Amino acid sequence: MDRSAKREHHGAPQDLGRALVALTTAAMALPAFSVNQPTETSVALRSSVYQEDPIKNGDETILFGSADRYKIKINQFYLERPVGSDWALNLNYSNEAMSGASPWGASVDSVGDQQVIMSGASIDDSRNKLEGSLTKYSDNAAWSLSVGGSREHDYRSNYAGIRWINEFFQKNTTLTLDASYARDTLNPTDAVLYGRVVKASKQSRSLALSVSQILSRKQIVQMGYGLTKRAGFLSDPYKLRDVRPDNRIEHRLTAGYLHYVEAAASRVRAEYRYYWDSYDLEAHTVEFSILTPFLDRWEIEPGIRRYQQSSASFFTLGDLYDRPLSLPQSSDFRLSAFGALSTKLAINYKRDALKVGLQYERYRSKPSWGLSGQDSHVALLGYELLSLGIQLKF
Amino acid sequence: MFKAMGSPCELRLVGDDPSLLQDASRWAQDETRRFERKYSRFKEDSLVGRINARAGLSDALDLDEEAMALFGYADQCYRVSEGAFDVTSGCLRRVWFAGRKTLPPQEELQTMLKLVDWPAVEWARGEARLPVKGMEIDFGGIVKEYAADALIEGLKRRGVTSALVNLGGDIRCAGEHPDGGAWPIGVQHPFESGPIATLLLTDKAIASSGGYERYLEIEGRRYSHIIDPRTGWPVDALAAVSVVSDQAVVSGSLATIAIVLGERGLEFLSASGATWFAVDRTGKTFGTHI
Repeated sequence: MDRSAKREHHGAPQDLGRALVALTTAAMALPAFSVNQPTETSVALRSSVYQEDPIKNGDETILFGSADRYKIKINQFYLERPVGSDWALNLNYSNEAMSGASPWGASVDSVGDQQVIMSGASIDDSRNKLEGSLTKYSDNAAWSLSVGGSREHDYRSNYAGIRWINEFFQKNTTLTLDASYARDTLNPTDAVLYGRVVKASKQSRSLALSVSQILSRKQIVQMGYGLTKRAGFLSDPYKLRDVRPDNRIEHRLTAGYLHYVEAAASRVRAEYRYYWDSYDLEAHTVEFSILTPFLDRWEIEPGIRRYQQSSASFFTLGDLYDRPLSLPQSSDFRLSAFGALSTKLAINYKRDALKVGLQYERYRSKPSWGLSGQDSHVALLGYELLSLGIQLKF
Repeated sequence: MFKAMGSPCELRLVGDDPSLLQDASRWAQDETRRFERKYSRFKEDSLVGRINARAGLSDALDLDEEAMALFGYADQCYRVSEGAFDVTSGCLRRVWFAGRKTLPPQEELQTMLKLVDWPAVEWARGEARLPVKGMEIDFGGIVKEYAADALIEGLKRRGVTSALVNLGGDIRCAGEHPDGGAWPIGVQHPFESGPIATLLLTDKAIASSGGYERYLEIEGRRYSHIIDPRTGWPVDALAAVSVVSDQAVVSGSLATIAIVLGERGLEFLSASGATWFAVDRTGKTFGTHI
């Protein structure tokens, strides 16, 4: 710095408001603060109940089968444990018990209205999932390797992934890279009886990049892009007529913004996601939530999510038995055009090493909330999710 | 209570396991003395003592990772304050020495000001060197505060989740007070008995800077021992500043910058985004909660 200029400047520094941020950021580079590794063992349990709404106007819309859709009970166990001075181990186990009916197919009646064919009264199944990961922390970076698998009586999935996180520019910028590979195998039940595929498999390869940038003490922005390539048997084996292209390329773009409102000690989060894939399906998601502490140990977080998607190029309202099996078609509601609105409320209680959280979510979807001019399924999904979690650190 | 870094120090560790607390307390005291041995400008064999002793010589001294990070932090303090916080300003004490009876002549100040020059300090690639004989560095306002942070972080890693570390008034606390809840901390008024404010802190730090306890009396006027490194003259517009933030090192440097900026220090503190208290030389109090 020019000495004479330095001497002449006797006022307060011009960029006053950044002093705390600049110094806090600089302090984070000091060794005492640069350990990212967890220092405590953390154990968490979560139980959830997921209940899909019965199909509305079932008498008119269901051609065959039950109006009651899935109910899933989920139990999760999570363990994080530091190992030595710069490693950490994570274990994640979950069990899902599901029962209920799901759409098998659809047809269009004489006046053009869609009718669905549901599976019989109840499908009972359970899924067990185990995942483990090992992370190595260094000053400004972390590497982690995870492997996992899930089992159902008719479905198994195994996967492996690596993640690299690096902090740059005095920890103002965080770059995260993820790469993963999964291989799924399916053996549908009663395959021979119903003419389903007897055995099939698919592979997924994913790559994701995300950057988060601290703009100021109160603002963080995050941008990300993810690419997934799926190949193999991508159709639903339980549907009566479901033929999907055996390659699917999916793209996801995300933009997020976090803002701390000092007066209320609140954290406001807004996120936008854009999805598009090689099935010509396009989707927009906008999510917004506000977390506010109250009464010392409590936090409340209401949130809202709006979703809108277009239909896949081969979506049909009714199953087309005259279309050759070499051409794609599907009457799966997840490939139809629709819009959804989800409202959430989470309440957390924190005391010392204990954290208890209760969360409720209501999800509804409607054709009229989607993009106009595209076909929507009659049996769109609605669900309620209630979950209770407890976390302990020691 | 123990004495280190020229000040009374206090450690309060809370927990159920007496042997763990005892080991942790022993570690914390050793660690405090390690900081003192390494960074004290009064000890010739400390890192700072050796850097200062070699000022003007051609060979640089090796810095380890911690020292390098502290040099980086000192650099940020200089940039943020645009020179008001300069760790090379300690040599000005040679002009404003205790017992001085007359004001220093301007030429003497100008000569000494040439030695106050953080941008001239060579610190890169794990080495440090002061280019001019007579230059010195002093990590006052940084190291004692950082030590309070490092102790708390280290105690947490040793399983102590509730603790208070007070190194000569630079305080960092974590977790809960033994009676439950936050740690009550009084901010002392410089001229009156009793606190300006009592704060309830959880996982926060408070550090103070002030010139009221030590001063020079020259030709009937009092001069503070806090000297503006940009002019070489004592500043006394503010008698005391305390800053609350997440890290003691950040609180300490913000308080030091504010006190050097004098009247403009209030503006600096208001815009800094931190919680703060200040008392000016007339005894008037200012701050985020006043």
